[in-house]
Amino acid sequence: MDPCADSRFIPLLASGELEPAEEARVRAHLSSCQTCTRELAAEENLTKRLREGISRPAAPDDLRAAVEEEMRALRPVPRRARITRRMLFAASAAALLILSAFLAYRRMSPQDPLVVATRHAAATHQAIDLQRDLLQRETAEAGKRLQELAQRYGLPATTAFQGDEEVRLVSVRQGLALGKVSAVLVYIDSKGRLVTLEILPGGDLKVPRERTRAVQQFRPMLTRADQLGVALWRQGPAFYLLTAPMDEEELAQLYLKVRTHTS
Amino acid sequence: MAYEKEALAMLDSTYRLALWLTRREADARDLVQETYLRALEARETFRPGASMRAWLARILRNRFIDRFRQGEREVPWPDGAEESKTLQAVCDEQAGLFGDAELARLMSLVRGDIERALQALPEDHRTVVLLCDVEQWGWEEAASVLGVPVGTVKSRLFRARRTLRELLSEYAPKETNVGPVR
Repeated sequence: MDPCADSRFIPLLASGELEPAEEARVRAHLSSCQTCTRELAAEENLTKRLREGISRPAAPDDLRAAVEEEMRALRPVPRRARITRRMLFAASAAALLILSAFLAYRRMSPQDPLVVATRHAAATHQAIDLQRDLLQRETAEAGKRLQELAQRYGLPATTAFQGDEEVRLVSVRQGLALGKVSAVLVYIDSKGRLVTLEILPGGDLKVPRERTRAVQQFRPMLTRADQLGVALWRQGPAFYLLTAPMDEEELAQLYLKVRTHTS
Repeated sequence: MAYEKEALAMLDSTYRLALWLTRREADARDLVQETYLRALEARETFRPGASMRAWLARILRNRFIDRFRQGEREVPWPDGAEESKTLQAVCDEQAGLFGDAELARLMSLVRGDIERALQALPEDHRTVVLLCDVEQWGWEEAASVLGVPVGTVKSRLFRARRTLRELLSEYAPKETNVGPVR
């Protein structure tokens, strides 16, 4: 087959990319050029094979169901509902226990336990944030509470990050997460933001590697819930939930501080 | 809710891209779920009126590059019959729904070449062919998925198609030259 200078226009002709005048000229040229006619046939044949010869499977039903479930779990709480919930939380610290029990109950549903844990961590953070005035009174007792929780429930609370000049430990509380007793360490950072670190027995709760992100040599799962950043990771026998009103980058920095301290 | 509904409507095309990139159904499922998780987290950065399928495809491709290209798990395109059950099995399952097993088998043989050729392309060229030719998306959408100008998409598609034609002519059965009978 002899080469033809016009054959470079053929892919453009096949994909409809030529200007009308240029297209008319190339089409007229085709009637007298076997090379370009074959080239056009080959291009059209390839397009046909790609459009008709490649299967286009639909997403499996169970995947669709899983994605829908994911969406439901991460749906933002409507503003009015949030306000109502906050009022409830503010009313009494006991409300935190009720919510925790509710979340623990939800563990029975087929929801992803990591999504449940994330939402629980955010709810705990929001509840404590509404009780800031109580925190100061609890600061003096924080060390004692850490000891108690470590001794009574075997939680590695005493080895956890106990704060520094930038992120001060202000309170330690007992919590209930996913049906287990947890320790909740509460900090205030230099910008006045509340940070919570919840430690619970790890059990079978794991973060699959594909859902983690690399933060230096560690791989926590970084995610968001209700405008809060949440870092989840497993360390030794325990599972950790670090929650703060931060973006991913800032949270990753805080995570490193907490993680490297406890390791 | 509208955002979620719109995103969910694009699940099929998102899944297909995941399947073509990862080459394994289990990985594709993980990648799709992760993509939707990220899309939900980043919903506030989605520009109303923009192409949802391109938005999802971009998230998916970036995640794929992060996860698979950085050596976490590099999956070779299966050459053997056993491994080729992965992507092929998903495609055949659907072809088999027509009830004509022979037709499904023939379709699968014809598809074999074109799919093999497509998988031989580098990822950026393969994605451009999948989006522009197979899924028949517009230039602009493909450009936004790849994060490159429209002109780059066009030139990549041109080069990818050129390579595909060469590969397909290599795979095609050669005419047997019997030679003169003495």
